[in-house]
Amino acid sequence: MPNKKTSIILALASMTILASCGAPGAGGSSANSSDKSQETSEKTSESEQSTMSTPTEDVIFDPKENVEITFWHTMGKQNQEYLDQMIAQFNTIYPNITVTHVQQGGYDEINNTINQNLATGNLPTMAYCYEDHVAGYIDHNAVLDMTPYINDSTYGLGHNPTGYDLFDGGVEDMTAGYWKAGSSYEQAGHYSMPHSKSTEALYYNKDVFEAHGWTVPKTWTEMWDLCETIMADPTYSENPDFYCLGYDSDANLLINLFEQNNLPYTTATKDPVTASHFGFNTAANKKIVSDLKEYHDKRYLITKGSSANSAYTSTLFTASTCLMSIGSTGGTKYNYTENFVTGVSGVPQADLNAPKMLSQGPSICFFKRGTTPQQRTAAWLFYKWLSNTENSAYYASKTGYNPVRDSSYNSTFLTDDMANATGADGLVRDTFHYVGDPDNGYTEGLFTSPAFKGSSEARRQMDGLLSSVLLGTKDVDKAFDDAMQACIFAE
Amino acid sequence: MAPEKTAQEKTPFIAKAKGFVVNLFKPKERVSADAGEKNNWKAWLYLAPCIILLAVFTFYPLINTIAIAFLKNYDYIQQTSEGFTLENFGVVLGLVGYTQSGDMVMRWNCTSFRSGGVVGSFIDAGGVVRDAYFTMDVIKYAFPNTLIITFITVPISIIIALFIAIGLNSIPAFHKALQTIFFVPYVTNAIAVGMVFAVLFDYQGIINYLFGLGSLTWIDQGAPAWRAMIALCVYIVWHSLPFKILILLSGLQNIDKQYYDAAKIDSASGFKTMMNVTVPLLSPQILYIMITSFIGAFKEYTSVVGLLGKPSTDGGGTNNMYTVVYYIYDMVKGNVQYGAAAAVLLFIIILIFTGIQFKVSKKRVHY
Amino acid sequence: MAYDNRNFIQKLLKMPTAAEKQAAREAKPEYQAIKTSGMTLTIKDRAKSADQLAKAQKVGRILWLVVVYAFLLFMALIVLFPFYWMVITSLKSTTEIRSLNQTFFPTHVLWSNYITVFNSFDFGTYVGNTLVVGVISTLGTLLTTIFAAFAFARLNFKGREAIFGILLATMMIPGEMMVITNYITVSRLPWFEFANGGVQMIDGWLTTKSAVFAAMIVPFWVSVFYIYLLRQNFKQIPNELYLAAKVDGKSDWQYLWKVMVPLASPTLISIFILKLMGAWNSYVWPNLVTTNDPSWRLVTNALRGSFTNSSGEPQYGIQMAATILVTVPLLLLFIFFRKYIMRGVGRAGIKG
Repeated sequence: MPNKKTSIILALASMTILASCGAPGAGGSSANSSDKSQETSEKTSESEQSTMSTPTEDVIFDPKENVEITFWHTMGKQNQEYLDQMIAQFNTIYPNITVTHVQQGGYDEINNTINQNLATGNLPTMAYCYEDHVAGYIDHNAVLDMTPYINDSTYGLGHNPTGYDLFDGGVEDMTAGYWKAGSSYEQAGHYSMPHSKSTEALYYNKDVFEAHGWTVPKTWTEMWDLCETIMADPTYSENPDFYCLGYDSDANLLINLFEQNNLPYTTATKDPVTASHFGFNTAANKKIVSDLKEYHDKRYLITKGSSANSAYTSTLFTASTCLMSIGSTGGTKYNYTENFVTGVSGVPQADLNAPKMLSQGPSICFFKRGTTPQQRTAAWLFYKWLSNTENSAYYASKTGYNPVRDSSYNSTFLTDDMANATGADGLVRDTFHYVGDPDNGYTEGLFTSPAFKGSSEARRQMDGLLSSVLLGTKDVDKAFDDAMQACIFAE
Repeated sequence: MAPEKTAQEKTPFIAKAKGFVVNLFKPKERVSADAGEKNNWKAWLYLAPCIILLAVFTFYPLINTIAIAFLKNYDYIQQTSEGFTLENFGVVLGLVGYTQSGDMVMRWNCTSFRSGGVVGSFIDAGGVVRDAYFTMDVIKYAFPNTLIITFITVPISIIIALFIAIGLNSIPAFHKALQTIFFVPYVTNAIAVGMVFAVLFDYQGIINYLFGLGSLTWIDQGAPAWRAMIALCVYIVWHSLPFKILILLSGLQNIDKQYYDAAKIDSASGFKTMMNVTVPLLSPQILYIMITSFIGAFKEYTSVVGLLGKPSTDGGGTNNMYTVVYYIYDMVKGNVQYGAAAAVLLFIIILIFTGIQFKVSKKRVHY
Repeated sequence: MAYDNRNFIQKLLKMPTAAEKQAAREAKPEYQAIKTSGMTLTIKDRAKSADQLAKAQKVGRILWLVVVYAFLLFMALIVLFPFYWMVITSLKSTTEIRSLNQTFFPTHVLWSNYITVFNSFDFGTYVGNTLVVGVISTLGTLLTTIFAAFAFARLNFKGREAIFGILLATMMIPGEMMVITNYITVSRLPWFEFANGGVQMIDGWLTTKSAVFAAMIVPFWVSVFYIYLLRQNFKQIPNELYLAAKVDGKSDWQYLWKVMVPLASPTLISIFILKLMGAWNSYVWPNLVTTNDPSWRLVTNALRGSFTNSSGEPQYGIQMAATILVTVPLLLLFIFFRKYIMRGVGRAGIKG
């Protein structure tokens, strides 16, 4: 009831004889309601389009008309240089498209900025996003369903009208685990495109493992057995700072374990019985956490959230206060050290026949509010360029993120240029080879947690839940109750 | 939705408001003024730039905030809500909670509580025992922390500032140099210096090293809230000293030297002189810094951001280092109506405290 | 003095002026007692014991001074220590910072932390932006402050005290609550851009550089605290000057600019510098309105982004180097304008 609110504001405003101050508000809300009617008409035309199954209609592009697009992201200065290079090459093919890119802080910050700008309309053409951010943007009818663009006969994935080599395969070339996350929303449609994707891998101290003849654990049972063996060795047990395994993300550890053990975490649509997205407050889930607490107390396990200065466990790993570290493949380089050889393996599993590993990292979404069809298509063409076989491999090899196309693993960048890489680059290559090898389960086993308003809070709460239990500041029951409370209020 | 309807609705409000406004602005007494009443329109002209800017950028958002505090499920983006409610205040105070399916439950309808009052069990209409979840962030953390900060840092910093100011006032040499040194913390960025204190209080930092405390955690993860609170209070006192010293010093310099001569003749001791002469004569300045620093301490936020980076020392499981303004700031990003309700409560509390101070000072302050 | 119990803030405003206080003091018995010189006479009569007394007092005074100096020096060390630690930490390597034995001087002076910070952003651009925004917003603030303080201090109009009370009350509201509403307001105001020889109207203050600068400046053209400060100052200017000016046939406007503003210039300079420092430190709002182009940002925004790197452990050395870059210009400003800053801040408390 915006009218009621406006009238309260006006009344209060006039009470202080400041009626003038009501003006921007009143003007604002009326402008807003007209915006809304426009949006609704836009919405109906969108849905008409999809039902009429003539998706090509919207994909208009005039290669002669100059167009400016804006891309908001969270890349650091180094990664922006790679982006600039890709933009420069892009402009030799499409000289009429000017790409402006702006760094908007971290992932939380970019989401805040966009949320605030949903009210003002000051939105970019495309932006970095997490799936749950997009869920919020869809609620406000601000993001574009990319289905017509993907399938377009001229500009769609795998189609190339320019005559240049675009290294652009079809949908089947996109890494399935990353691609399917783009359509995992409550609404039908494809709303986000994978970009800086990563998964997790286990890094281990190869020198120590070989010296003792230990095998790298593939399951959690093997992992905890190995930890017991390690801690029997006084070299390690007598060092009070030593832990066998470091895990970089408390939330990822829990989400992985819940998924691997088929335990509830969150659901994309509300559970019919509890009428809630959140299902993690069960005895079985609590058992997982209390087991982890036991392993932490035995110094089998340390996480980023349970170390005093919340250090990434890669730091502990390279300092040899951990023998194994599980972390994002986007941070592979931080596990490299000159002091010993680092080996790469997969995240331990509960069931080797059904491997599950969490995929994460930002995607790119496209805004329909405040953009012209020409801009939208230009942005789509730019995305196709960023994510093509060669560029995806190039960006991945420079940054450590995973390529988003299967073909990238065989691209010249990864096969030729990086074949002789040593040091940290060599570790990045080894990680790519491990993740890209179908035998290791990564192509099939990647999963993302469901996206809905409140899913990022759930993730944040998993972080806090595990670290406060491991630190001993809370018991398991209270930690779960607190997490559930925070999730309910964030929804 | 039509704008005409809005216009119709607001008329009765304005009619009512007018009477109130007329009363409010009636001068209580005719001051024998140097300028006559004809200055009326001229005065408004002089005030116009300031009033217009304040109206747009302060009063309008303020009124908006108050309005939002009373609206149900306010959505900033669409600027919609589901009508008038007091629910937001209930939620902030931990009196209104929700079940997992989103049903509203009153605290007093719950029969038992667990997890520190976060979960309450109640028997629903069908006779089934269910759980309701309450937010305790404000009641258990934000308000107590804010009160602790206020009642620790304000008296301590005033006493230290008083000693330093009296010391500075009584020395014959290096007066200016020392005064300048004591003022330096005033010209620093609160967040930047907060980060410096974070380095000092690091578990491998200089404080532990100097005092031989080993790897004691003060502000790192796993540190108990009370230790983080000590570090925070040390930082706040450090950062708030310069302003107080300066105000007290300018007050001291205004004190007539003859009072001290009189005290000397009575051969009163230094301490006695301080308690019986200096402090009473400084009471207007002390009142002023008490009021400003109470308000400042109630609004403490940047110091927590600078020192801790997040409102928690247990890895994020609880917001045990929340202050009221930190809570408000967090809520602005998601549940703006709760933030608005907390802001209204904070405003009322500040008003009450300021009022009490004036009441007390009426007897004690010597003008 | 009869106070109205209902309005606390008004009471604050009704505190006595200097002249009133002096009169009150003189009325007190102990004040008058001092004026009578009888006591001095008795001491003179017993010169010997007065000498002894003086000697004892002198020793006592020296001892007392030693204690006072020791206390002040100790406190000064505490006050300065964080600065010292900030400087030496910025020159240390991470291993040295993390080492078990803390060093009070870096074993290897490391300048690379500064190079890292400087390389991560364009310092010149951001300082330039900050100065432009800071100076223009400060000048605007001075104007609105002078006008408002004049009206509150000198002119008499209906509702003066009530309005001043309301203004002071706004200082109790946490500013965080206003940010979003103001952001939406700014995004909807019209802006006029001079382009291609004509004037072009743009919707919202967020898309062009000049509009964004306006968004960083205009909302800060008013400050209740400085109005309060200047009003206190204006009130100290004696009535006689005003009446004399009236007799001379000067208008209010002339009196304001020819008499009041020159007399209050130290306070105005203080406000100028304090406000400039405020602009230097501002973070949340500039960050919000400069979303469309990072080169419009202010210095703290750029700095904050530069040390949130993803390399894991907090790199205290780099953080402290960045902190110093934020702090040093403030300190320089302080060193050059120490008198004005301290006088301006100190004045806030004088008339209570």
